[in-house]
Amino acid sequence: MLGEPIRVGRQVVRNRIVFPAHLTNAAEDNRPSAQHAAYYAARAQGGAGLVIVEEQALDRPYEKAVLGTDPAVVPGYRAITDAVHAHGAVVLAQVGHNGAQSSSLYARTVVEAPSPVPDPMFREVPVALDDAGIARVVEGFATVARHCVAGGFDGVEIQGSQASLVRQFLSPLTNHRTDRYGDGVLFLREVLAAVRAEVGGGILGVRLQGDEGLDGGLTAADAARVAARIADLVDVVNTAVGVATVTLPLIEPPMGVPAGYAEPVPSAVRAALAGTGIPVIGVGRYTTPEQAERALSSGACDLVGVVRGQIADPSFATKALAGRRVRHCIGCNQECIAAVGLNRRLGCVVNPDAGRESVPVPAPGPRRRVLVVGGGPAGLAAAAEAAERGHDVDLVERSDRLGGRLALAAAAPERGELALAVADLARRCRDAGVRISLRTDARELRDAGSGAADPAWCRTREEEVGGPDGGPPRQLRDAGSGAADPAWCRTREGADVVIVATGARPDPPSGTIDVTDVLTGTASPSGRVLVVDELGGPAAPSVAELLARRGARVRLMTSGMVAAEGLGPLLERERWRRRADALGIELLTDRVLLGDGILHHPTDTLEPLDADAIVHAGPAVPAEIELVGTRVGDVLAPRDAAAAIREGTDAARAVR
Amino acid sequence: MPVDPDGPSRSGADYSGSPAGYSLVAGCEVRGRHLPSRVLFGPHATNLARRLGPEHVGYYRARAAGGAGVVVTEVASVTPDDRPYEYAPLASESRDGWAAIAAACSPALVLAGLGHAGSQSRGPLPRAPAVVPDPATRVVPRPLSAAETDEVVEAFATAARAAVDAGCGGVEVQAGQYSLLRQFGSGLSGPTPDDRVLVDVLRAVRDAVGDAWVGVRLCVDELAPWAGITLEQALETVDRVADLVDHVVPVRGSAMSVGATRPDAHTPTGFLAEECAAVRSVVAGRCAVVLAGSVVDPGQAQAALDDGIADLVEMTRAQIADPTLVWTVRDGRTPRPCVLTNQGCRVRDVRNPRIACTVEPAVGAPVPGPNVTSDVSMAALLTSVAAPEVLVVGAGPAGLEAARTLALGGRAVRIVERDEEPGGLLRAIATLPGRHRFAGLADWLVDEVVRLGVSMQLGISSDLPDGGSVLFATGGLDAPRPGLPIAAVVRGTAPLPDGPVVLDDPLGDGAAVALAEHLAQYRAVALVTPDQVAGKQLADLVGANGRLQRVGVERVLEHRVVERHPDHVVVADVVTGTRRTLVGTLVDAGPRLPAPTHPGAIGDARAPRTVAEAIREGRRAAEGMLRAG
Repeated sequence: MLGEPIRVGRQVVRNRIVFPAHLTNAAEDNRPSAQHAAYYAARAQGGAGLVIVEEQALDRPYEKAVLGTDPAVVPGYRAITDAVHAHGAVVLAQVGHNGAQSSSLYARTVVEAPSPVPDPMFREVPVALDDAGIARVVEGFATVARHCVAGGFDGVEIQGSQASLVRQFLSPLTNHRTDRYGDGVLFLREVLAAVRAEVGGGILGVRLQGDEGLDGGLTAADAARVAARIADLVDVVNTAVGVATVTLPLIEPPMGVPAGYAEPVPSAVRAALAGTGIPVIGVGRYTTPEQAERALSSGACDLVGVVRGQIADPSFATKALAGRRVRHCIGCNQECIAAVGLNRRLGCVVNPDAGRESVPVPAPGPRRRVLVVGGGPAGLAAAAEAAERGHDVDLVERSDRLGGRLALAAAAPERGELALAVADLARRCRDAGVRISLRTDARELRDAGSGAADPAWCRTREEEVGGPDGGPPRQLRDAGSGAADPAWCRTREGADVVIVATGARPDPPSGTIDVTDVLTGTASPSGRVLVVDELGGPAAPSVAELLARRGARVRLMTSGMVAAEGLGPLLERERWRRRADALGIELLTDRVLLGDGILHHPTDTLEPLDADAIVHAGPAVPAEIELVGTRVGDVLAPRDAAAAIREGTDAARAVR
Repeated sequence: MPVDPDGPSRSGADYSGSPAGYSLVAGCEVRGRHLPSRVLFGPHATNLARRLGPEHVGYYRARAAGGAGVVVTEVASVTPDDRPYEYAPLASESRDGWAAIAAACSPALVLAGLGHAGSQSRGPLPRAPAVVPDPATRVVPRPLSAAETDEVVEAFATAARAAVDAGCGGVEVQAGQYSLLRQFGSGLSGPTPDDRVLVDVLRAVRDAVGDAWVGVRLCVDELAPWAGITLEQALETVDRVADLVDHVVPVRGSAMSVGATRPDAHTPTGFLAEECAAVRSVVAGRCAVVLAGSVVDPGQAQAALDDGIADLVEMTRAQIADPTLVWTVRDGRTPRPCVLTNQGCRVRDVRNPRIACTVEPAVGAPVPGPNVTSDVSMAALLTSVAAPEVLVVGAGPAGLEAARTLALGGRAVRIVERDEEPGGLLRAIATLPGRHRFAGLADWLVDEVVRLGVSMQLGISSDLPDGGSVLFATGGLDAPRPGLPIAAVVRGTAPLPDGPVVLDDPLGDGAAVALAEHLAQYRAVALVTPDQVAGKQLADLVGANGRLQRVGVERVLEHRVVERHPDHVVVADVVTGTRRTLVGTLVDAGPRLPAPTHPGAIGDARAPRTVAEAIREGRRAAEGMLRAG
């Protein structure tokens, strides 16, 4: 069914795959940018049927919002719509007002809402809109819609779900009014009527909230009830669950949450709209074509929204319709949700081009022989990209498996989807013809002195390969042997380019066990285990959970103010805390190891260690290797998989 | 030895009289240059624009026109890969901005702030002395090679030359907070600390700029004696650089103690006086020494000069709050007081707020502003004498600021206030720890309206006239929820029974944290917050949580109150739902309510928020009336 065209308003959408609205932080001076056009065009080119461009705001909710009320946005809109239309997709703009889910930080004016109820996150007491204020807001929606039409959009979608004044009018939690707008649908109808007057025969949609995830909040039944009351005004209804400023993990759940978790909402709305011909869009962590297809075939919805799946793989739709494997979104939320939340531009761990679609990729140069040292994410990305660009690529990996520390992390509870990222990279390497040699240590190649021919790659082109900082290349000593004789050395005459992606190694303080050793099984501490977290990311909480599941009595300790802090922006923390609570993991903050004890630094109190084993998650150190070449990933500076994959990809593209 | 602003100075001089004769504000010769005053406006992040440009020019010009002797511009990174924060200027893009600022600020000495944030950079791959993660971001930097370090040294010299060529009087090199040059000297940042790179930079900069002014902002105490820079080590560095520079500004703090560098009012003002005196004695006249560190009161600044602690005084936040500080002091008046909350001026925040100020709404107002002007343009709003009197109802910050603005515009103004004392919640807030400076703000606003001839009637529950020009600034209302309202508790109108207290703080905006700190001196206090830390909205987040723990407040984190009883509450974990009982009297620190609607109400009467919004709306409403005539 995914490939079946469907009528939406007066338009026909070529398939059922939607790229729904989401924040990208790509705006420049609060206007649409060339990056917006390239970003949305890439998904249209990749086959999406309907593209819904992110919120065009009436208010100033966040720094990089596109301010749709400013007429200066129209040329940028035109660039987006031309680019998307060129690839055959229908394109809408979402129009929204954030009400109390906003801040006076940028506009320096009071925020406005149905009632003076502060938002749980922004916490500013809003002013209740009076009739004149409501009329002004309704007119604002019309103004933005007018700009959208002028900019070539096929229509608009009114934001009534995650961060929205419309939702605040609809929800009993935020609408305490005693006037006629106590019925929030009245406000929504006024907005829709005013916008309809602007879009005429274009598409008018609304995105309705179907589960606020709050006691007394909106439910799927409410979404259905509202949908039925506006059916005369709209062409399509999109759905959502979760409130961006309270129950964000409902909107963008992390790995481990099954696809289709939000299906009750589109199902209820679809039932309410039966016979109207109004199609309903369902969303909810659909990351594979199979899941999306199931949502349609089960009757939950008429179109399927896939955001993160199409961030990870812009060609998701084309591949889905052709029955091909997509690059998986792993639900890590690191570069999309967390980065945008931190006011950075949207990116993607597994798709290094996400968020920089407007940056041209250089055309491949002549075919070169490329040696990649290291089979972690940086090395795999470099090898895959180089081979796909037509280069002749060997990859050597010292251990007996690919994926480096990323693959190790996948061994932790609820982190298994990380392995998909490794598998996707490895598959790209295989499909592009990379020769992979496991259990091959590049250093041994040089040191073994058998008198056989020098590995030619070590000497033929070293003069062209700069040192790590662009300085003169170091001389390669002992570059003579054939003892280890890996395949690439035996069969290749030499490498033109060497990419060093040897990663990083743990460096735990003496007397402690590194988390890596727990994940590999090298160490299996038991009894009373103290897990010391110096990283703040998922490593320590994951290992704490792993050990607690094995029966250890675990305490997780950080020098910072918050335990498992890094899981928060990834929207993992609530789920992890529930599991940790069930496992009895104790959380300690503001504490450091000191001698044989624990120092609570705010009060300068020394506490007993009280542990049979100490597991440590701390900064790794670069696993340097004396080899000339371009350094990428953790060997350059130990960071994360996103940096590794991006740098590996870029190094491959720099091969000339 | 911090200088107590209210106590005697070393010389025993009395600073309570008119400040008009202060040498602080008089023109002077320093290092062979004429300076309009001895007051320095120090470098700080503004987020005004991605490059030094017209917005910065206006910002600095206001301070120079107000009498600042030295203006140091926002620190520009000397290498393009360094990105201390998203809007940090790059030296390579600052030439035009420097030129415009220098031209606009004459005769003040304009120094270009130059720096490199090292591991405290927020770029994709920070470079630093060693592979030591930044404590704040935990990002691991890449170590600089010897060749790269030489390039950085050269980059400082190149940038300094460019700044002077652009018309700046010189530069100030950053070796304080957020700086690679401090990191090179610190055992916190690498295994082999030394100040050689700093000395190399200063020598290269001196060679590049000749006789132009070279200053250095130098960390003299990283507050981490186990590995960090100590005063003793720093004095050796001072001795090595004193001949290379024209001024030294001693500052403190490392990446582990960012909040200590420009702290709020929990730290005594002038807290670096002792260190500054020690530096000045090592320098022995070879260069000027600048006292920095929460110096916001002219009397304290003058005392530092009189006592030989410093040659110049940095008063950055004081001049954010009142750009005309120097002229105001020359006139014998008190400047608009900085309240040292860091609420608006601490802008190194991922949200990239523009610089703002709790007490002065014109700071960082978007240009063209939504009806916010500074006093400088007030003359344009001067009203006709015939305009009718304005009645301001309520003498809190919103009402007082409105009355002051109207009076400055020539309007006749009358304030009525139901309390016996003007100042509104400012007086109550000022009784809390770290908030004492709000009393000074109330005093200043009252002094201003009195000076400007506003008539004020206290203790009057006003009979509100229909029509006429009226501004309602009557404040917010306590919400009808169980528990004692926090405002009433702080005001003292709702006496707390003896025994433990449970503070329900769903906002985390500082009031509950301050009350908890205060009450914990006398009784058991539990602070319930849905957040992972107490006081989530505070600029002083780290400090506040440390203090709460030291005074023994039980922080009930990630919980909310689900049942309210006279002598106990039931709280639930916001994630797991697990419940527990807390015994004590409930104090409700939740959101307050606006007053019943009056058209054009301002401040908390419109929507209860902070002092900053109250003052801003008072200013705007008054300006709107003046425009309307």
